[in-house]
Amino acid sequence: MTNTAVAMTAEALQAKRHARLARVAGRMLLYVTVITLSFAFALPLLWMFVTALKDDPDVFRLPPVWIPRPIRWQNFAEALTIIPFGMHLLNTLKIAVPVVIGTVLSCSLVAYGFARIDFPGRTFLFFVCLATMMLPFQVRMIPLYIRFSVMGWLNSYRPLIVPAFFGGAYPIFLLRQFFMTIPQELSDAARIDGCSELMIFWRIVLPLAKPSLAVVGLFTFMGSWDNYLGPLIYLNDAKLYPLSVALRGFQSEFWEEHLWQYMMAASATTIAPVIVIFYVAQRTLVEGITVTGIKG
Amino acid sequence: MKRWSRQTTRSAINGYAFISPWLVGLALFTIYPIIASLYYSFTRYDIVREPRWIGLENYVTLATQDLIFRRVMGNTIYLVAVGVPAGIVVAYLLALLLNNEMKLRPMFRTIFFLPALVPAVAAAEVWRWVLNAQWGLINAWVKARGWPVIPFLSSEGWAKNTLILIHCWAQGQAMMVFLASLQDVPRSLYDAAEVDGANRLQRFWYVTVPMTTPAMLFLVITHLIGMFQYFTMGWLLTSGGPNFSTEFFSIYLYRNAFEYFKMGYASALSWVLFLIIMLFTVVTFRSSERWVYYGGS
Amino acid sequence: MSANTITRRRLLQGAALAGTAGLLVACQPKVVEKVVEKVVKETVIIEGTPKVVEKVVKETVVVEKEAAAPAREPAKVVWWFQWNAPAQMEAFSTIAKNFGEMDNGITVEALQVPTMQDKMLAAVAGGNPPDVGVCCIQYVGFYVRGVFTPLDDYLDASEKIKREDFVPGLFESMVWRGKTYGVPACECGPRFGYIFNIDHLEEAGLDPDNLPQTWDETWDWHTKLTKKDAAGNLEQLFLDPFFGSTTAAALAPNCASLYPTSWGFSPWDGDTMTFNFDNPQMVEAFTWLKKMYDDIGVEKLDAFSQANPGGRYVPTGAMPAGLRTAEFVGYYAPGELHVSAPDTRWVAGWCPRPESRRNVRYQNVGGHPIYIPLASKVRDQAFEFIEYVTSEEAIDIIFKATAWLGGRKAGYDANRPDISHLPSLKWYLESANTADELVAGPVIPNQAFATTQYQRAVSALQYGEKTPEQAAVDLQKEVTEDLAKEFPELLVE
Repeated sequence: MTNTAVAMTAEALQAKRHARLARVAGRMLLYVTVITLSFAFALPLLWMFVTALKDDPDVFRLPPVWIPRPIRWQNFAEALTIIPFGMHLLNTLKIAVPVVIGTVLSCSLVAYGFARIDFPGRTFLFFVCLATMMLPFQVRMIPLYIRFSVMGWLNSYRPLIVPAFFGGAYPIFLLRQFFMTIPQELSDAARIDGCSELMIFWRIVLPLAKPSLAVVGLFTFMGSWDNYLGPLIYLNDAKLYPLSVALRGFQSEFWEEHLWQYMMAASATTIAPVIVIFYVAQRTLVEGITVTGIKG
Repeated sequence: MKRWSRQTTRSAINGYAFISPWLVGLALFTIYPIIASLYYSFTRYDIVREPRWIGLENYVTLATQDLIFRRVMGNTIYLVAVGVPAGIVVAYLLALLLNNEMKLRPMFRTIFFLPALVPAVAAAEVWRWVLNAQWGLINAWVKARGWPVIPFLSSEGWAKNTLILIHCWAQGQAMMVFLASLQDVPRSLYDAAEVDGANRLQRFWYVTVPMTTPAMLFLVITHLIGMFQYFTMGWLLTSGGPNFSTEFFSIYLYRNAFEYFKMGYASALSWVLFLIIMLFTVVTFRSSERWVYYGGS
Repeated sequence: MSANTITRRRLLQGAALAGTAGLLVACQPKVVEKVVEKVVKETVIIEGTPKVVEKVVKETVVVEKEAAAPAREPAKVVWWFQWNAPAQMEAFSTIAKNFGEMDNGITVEALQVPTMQDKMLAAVAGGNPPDVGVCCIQYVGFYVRGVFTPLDDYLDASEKIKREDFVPGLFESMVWRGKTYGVPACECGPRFGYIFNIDHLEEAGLDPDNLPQTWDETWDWHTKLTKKDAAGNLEQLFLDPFFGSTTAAALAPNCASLYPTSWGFSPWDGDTMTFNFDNPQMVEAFTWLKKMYDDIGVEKLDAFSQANPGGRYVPTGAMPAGLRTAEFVGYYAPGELHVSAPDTRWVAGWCPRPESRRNVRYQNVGGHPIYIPLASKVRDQAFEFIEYVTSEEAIDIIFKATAWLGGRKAGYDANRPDISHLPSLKWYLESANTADELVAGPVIPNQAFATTQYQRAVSALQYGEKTPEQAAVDLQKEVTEDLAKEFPELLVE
């Protein structure tokens, strides 16, 4: 009796030790994997940053140089003065901020309609919505341009901003998928309490969908930040160009001077705010769960 | 057919009210270019002059005469068949990895997301340095061991796979979608499964996977659409070469529309592409009734 | 787009810096409409430093004043261009500014467009193109579709632009069915040169004064100068005869096609509207190319080219890095190589011919047209601006910034002092004056398609998918069918 008890305790102890060992090994493995992969994923940015600090001859030295010598911090200052960086940055924000607001507002409404209300024609219209993504922009671009031209919208930000307030297939689809996972009982209960659909949308679904709204906002911001072809064809005044168009100057086939360091410095500077936004946004995403404790 | 009730009427009013912004946008901005391109596909249209109606000629040409189109089709189908699953699997694995509790998690998430943030032009340049056949990071190492260098971008066999590899590396957005979706898996389901004696693998398979299927459906569809229209990185890195092994649908379409002044033919090409994508989408959606689980329904 | 639009690169920054004053200003037309303030630049050499500083001296030159032109409504001319290096943009904005200050009631609004073809097509479709454009679109595609203003009446009436002042071949490449749609502007120059690294030649015991004149001799030099390791990897390459040269792979109005020109035929006949690829000379050229590429090995070549990226103007490029001996390339190469490999000596000579044409030295001076879209509402003023952009004063501004030559004969003086440090460039300028054949770039209606197919034909040879005979036959068939399909009206007439 005592013996067996002792044996059992020993066994349990051993099992416990094994479990702890396994857990430690698991953690180790996790960190090793994450850190190793981090290098592969950080490489482009690292390379961008390193190149941005290089002196002229270093940029094209073979084999590639990883530690620039001398380190030219002034590349950043120079890159940002070759083009009127501040003006273009402001232009980019003038486009991106309204686009994000418009997209999040309109797409969450539309996605709610597609996800949570069973109306006649829903499936068909949803497929129409998806279908608008399936035709390449290259063939839609010219008729769209002609349309904006007829409306007198060229050489303004209207062609780039206004459509965002009328929904886009990609964010609508993404939000729909998230809205679909929110338990229907929540809505039903609210309906019984006399809530209108708009109130259910605003009070119940949106707060629960915060993470996905953050994701959509972020993606939209990135898309607008990167958009090149749209501003290129719609804008006829260099003072209106956003960064995406202005930065092409650094990588033209006509550049014979070695300006890679400037392009990299300018690119690193332009993505820095997006990195910060991402960092903050994905914190929101994590908080989203801890605060609401979704559907526990 | 369902009976039309007051309930249906109310749903209809509510439903159309909610999607009305999109309907207005469709009417104002979206539908015209789509209809126009459909019309152009039956014409000879060079953008600068009025389109001339030629009936089905463009479609007949691409079906019967255009030998390059066949090569382009083959290239694109390979890209989609390998690239879509590969990208999604990588994104899923990364999301699972970064969903673990760990120190500095926000930082690691940011790092893994970086490739999606770097502008394509800069990313292409970085990859050129990494994959270079002589002194790129990988081949320098390979060469030091006396092995033959890997022609990542310079052989017909490798080029497509290399582009797929780069596609997998830039899965930040898909990873985020999966991460957001993983946050939605209720803790209680895991607890219940644990009580039922499910091990880690079983909990993953019976709880995590089903709960993330809505995100998966989204990614499968958008990746299908995206890969069928794959353009930027291919244009920047290989522009169709070597020997047209990376001449994909959108690249060929671009050449026709903007270099050859054949917008009519390009429109026909894109409507063929449209139908192919639509077919895949409908099939995926039909099948999704069997494998996608919506917690809400 | 970039594959088919031949673009010209900046050259000899060195020359631009060392440029002596007013070379071209001196050859200004004698009659100027009004009193202008001229900027005369003096070169001051500071002792003990290699630096050359430009001192600007302003002086007012009074010239004959013609009767004042009738007063006109003030007009705005919108000018789009694609070139965008800082020096280029600065030169262009100087030109726009100078013209704006001429008190002619015209202001110029300049816009640099990063990718012109897409934007121009959209703008034309939307009915609001610029008033003046230059670089970089598929020019012929726009000529044949009647998008641009025929300039013949303007040119006939112009005091300032006389066709005979321009290098032969330039205007011809801007003519479609008897009408002239552009004026050679900004970047023009000899396209055909065969440039060598002298160190390589001396190392192999070859004589830089006795360059290969024929394709057979080129093959001999290839066997002497191409070096491989045991595994067949290229350690040094003599020449990448087609894909390593934008000149050789071109088939464009602003750059004639090297191989057909060498073999003495034109790939396109504008009178009969026919292509001419299916002939024994083309097969001979293809056979030679196939022999070269088979010997080099296509994958080895790709790996080699990738390993040395950046072309001539960055130090890692195969030429400046001293890994490739020779290239078929235009007049911009000497300046670029002078910047990227300042210590290497280069020599340039005539591009090769087949044995039967050994004594026929050929050249093509190509250039970009500046044009006026038909939709412009200020075409007269736009042409006035073109007159200034193509004037010797403007050519000089551009030359100083970019070392581009422009279209006027006056600039093609092999003895101009500002290029004396580049002996190989001297050869290019000489060649424009001494060539036995000075050809014009072909004006092919379906130019972009034809160029792609032409390059595809060579690619098929390279990868062993076609024989030279097949490649020539197929190429002829493809481009002819495409022409018939896209331009049925041409064949009816």
